[in-house]
Amino acid sequence: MSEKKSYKEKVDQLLEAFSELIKEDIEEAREVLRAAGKDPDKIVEKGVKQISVIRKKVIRAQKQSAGGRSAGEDALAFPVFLLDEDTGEVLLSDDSEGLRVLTADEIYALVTEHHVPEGSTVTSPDISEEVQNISFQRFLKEITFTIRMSENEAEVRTMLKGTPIELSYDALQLIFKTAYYLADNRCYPVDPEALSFSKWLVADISPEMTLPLHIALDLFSKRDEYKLLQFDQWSSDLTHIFTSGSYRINTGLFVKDLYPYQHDGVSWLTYCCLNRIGGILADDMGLGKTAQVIALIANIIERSILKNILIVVPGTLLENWRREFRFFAPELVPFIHHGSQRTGSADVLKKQPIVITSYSMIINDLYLFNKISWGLTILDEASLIKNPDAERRTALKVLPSGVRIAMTGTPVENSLTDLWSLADYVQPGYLGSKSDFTSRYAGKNSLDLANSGLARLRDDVSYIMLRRKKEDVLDNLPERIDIHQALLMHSSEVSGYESKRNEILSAATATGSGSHILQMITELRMFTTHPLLRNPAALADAGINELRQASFKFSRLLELLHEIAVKQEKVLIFTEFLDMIDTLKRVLPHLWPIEILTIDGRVETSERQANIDRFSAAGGFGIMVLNPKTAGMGLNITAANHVIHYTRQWNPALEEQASARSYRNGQKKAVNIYYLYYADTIEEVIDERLRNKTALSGEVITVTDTDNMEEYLNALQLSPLK
Amino acid sequence: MNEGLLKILDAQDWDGIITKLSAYVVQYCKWKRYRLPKGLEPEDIALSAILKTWEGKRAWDYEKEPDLLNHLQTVANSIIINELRSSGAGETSTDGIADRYHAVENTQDEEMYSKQLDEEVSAAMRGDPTLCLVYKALKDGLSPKEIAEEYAIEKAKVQATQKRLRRLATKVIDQLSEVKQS
Repeated sequence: MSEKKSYKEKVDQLLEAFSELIKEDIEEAREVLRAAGKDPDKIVEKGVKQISVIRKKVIRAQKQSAGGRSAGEDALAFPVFLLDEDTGEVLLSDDSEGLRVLTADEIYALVTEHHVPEGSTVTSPDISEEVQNISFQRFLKEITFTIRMSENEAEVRTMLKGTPIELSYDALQLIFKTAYYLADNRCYPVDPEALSFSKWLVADISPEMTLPLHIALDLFSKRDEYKLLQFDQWSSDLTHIFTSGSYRINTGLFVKDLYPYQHDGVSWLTYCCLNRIGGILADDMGLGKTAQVIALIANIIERSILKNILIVVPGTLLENWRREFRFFAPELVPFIHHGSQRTGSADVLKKQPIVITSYSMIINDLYLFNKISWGLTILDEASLIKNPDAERRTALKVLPSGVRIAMTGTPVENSLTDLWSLADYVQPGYLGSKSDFTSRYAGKNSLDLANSGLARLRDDVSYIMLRRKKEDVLDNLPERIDIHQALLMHSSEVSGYESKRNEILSAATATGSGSHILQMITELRMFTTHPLLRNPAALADAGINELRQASFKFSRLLELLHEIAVKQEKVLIFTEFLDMIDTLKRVLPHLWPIEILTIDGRVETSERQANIDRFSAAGGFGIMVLNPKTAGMGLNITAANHVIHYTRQWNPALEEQASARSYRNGQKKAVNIYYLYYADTIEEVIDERLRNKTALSGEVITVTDTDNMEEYLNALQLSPLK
Repeated sequence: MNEGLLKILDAQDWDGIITKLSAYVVQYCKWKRYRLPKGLEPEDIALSAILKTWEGKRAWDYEKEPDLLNHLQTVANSIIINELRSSGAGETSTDGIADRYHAVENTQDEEMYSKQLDEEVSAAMRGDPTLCLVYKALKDGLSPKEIAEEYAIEKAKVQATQKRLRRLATKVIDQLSEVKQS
């Protein structure tokens, strides 16, 4: 209103008024823009987008100035180079929220040549000061992994090689995207080869940086192939193995109790498997090697330590192994590869967690077994490969196997070469070449051996062999060890047995005559003692090989005698059939040049003690064959610490009394009592009767029930063909 | 930036602010005859003012100036001046931006231009008494409300007249600009 206003002031006043108009009226504002040839909507769209970007930056800056972020927010494991596609800014942050994470190549191209990454819409990148201050390391870094195996899993530590930087799981995942690690204003580019290996390995690693044990063990077995992989050193000190708890049994699959020394054995075997070291379990006969090995298998299956387990046993023991599994670990059902109906498919075998086969099958089906990478191979009665040049040993040596365990009670039978043969099987090259070993030890007398470092050999072997003698563990051991061994009949034996069994059952149905049936059952037991007993003429002429071929039980008897002979101990064999007693007396001296003493009804009472005295006085290995009905009572034969019940007695008391010839007061050693029986025959029923009655009444059995015809006939329901 | 300010900024009607501020800069530059550096548009100035406020480079004291648009207009004015100054540095052309800047700073020249603009607008609205009345009142610094009360005209009619007047004035400015350039 002042007349003194200049034109400029008036125009400014007008402009201010129009500005107010725009402020109050959005349509007027849009009209102004349109009149200037602009699109208000596009301006708004562009503006809102830019505000969104700047808002993110502001929030990011706020977080950083607040000294980090609160728990639960997902910060990156380390700061990374980021590109803001909206602003073109290249910045450093541990929060990539909505921004593009740049790889090592991309940031290098940006910093050195201002090349924007492929696919980026940024035309002029704005490299922030903090990025410019980063020192890019010239040399590519590798990522190293250190694995420490423990009871159930393996811990993994990851380092940036040549730095004290330990990488977390999240850091590794981020490195896989960036191909660099950034710390203390330094950028460490990672070697592409190391990156590739790390990706492969980390695929199996959990966010807690643990690895399943079986994968760690696979890696351990191939550790020479991986230069970026290290394993914590393992102790081979037995005390450590037994006391650390790292290798203890941790499985519900094994349902029986073990003695403390057996626990130690399983720990040691587990240690072998964990470390991929071959081992020889060389405990004395009767100390329960089979139980320890089954516990080991239960342990490694439950903990997925190894896959595809192969157990090679003498053909005579196949059935026994199957039953031992059923007894100790009922949930583990091994696959038996044996006989004419066996599979020819490697895929079938490969799917089985546990395969049991015989030495002869290994030779016959080597092509099949060779197609499978066995995690663990176990040899029972491994003295069968003591001859380094034997075909079965050669076949087993070429079989691919992660860990090899040999079981034997007699690691050295004839010479130290036996030991070399076993050691070289389980741990090839461990004792050097055969020729070196032979020149050092074989054929030397004890003085020479002492001078040639036998003590050192003992020390060396102690790393791969666990051997406990009965006297070493006697505190843990019952003085008597009952060993029930189930055997399978030869097919020829099966047909003979079935024929007789059906004959008895038919007779029982037709006549019901008790005495006649009892006679027939005695004939059946005679058959299970040896088929040739029914043919005295053939029996009289039969040599060792014919006897062995005609009877599985006879073969097993010879194997047991062989082991006892190696230990230079004495054995009592019980059979009630005189022809069998005579046969043993006739043929066994062909294998062992000793006098076979006998006690049966034909031996005068006055001579019986004399026989016992001669048997007891003789040094070393000795065999006495006895009729349990004649020699079952009153005799004291404590010189023998092995008893073999070769012909089984329906009355358990008879067997108990017979066992008591050896296992009695005055016995200084633990006594092994072997009960041989044919599976799925009347002998199995007899064996079960003995076990059940022992369980019920301790070790004193006086019950006699031979008159119980019904029990006999029930026993005959079992058939080896079913 | 404190969390309180962040919340206030988040609560703003940014579509409206961007539109109004951009329109303001368009109008301001036109009336002031400012030619922005090549590639720089009025809306860029508006957005720059907004972003600087977000970043805290041009702090908004919302207690002293509760009207964000007022604050942004001030920032935009400042940016325009700075842009003209910095782009003019080293310019030697007499028809360049530096020349224009220095010219508008010249009070005598500005007064002459303002007089010419006033005469042209007055001539353009001759025969429309309401327009003339409102134009005079606005030049005297009255608000639309004051004009409505002073001259007993409905406020809506004042505002409508003001819009007509703005369009007419803009047309005159464009014509004057064309004359100048030709």
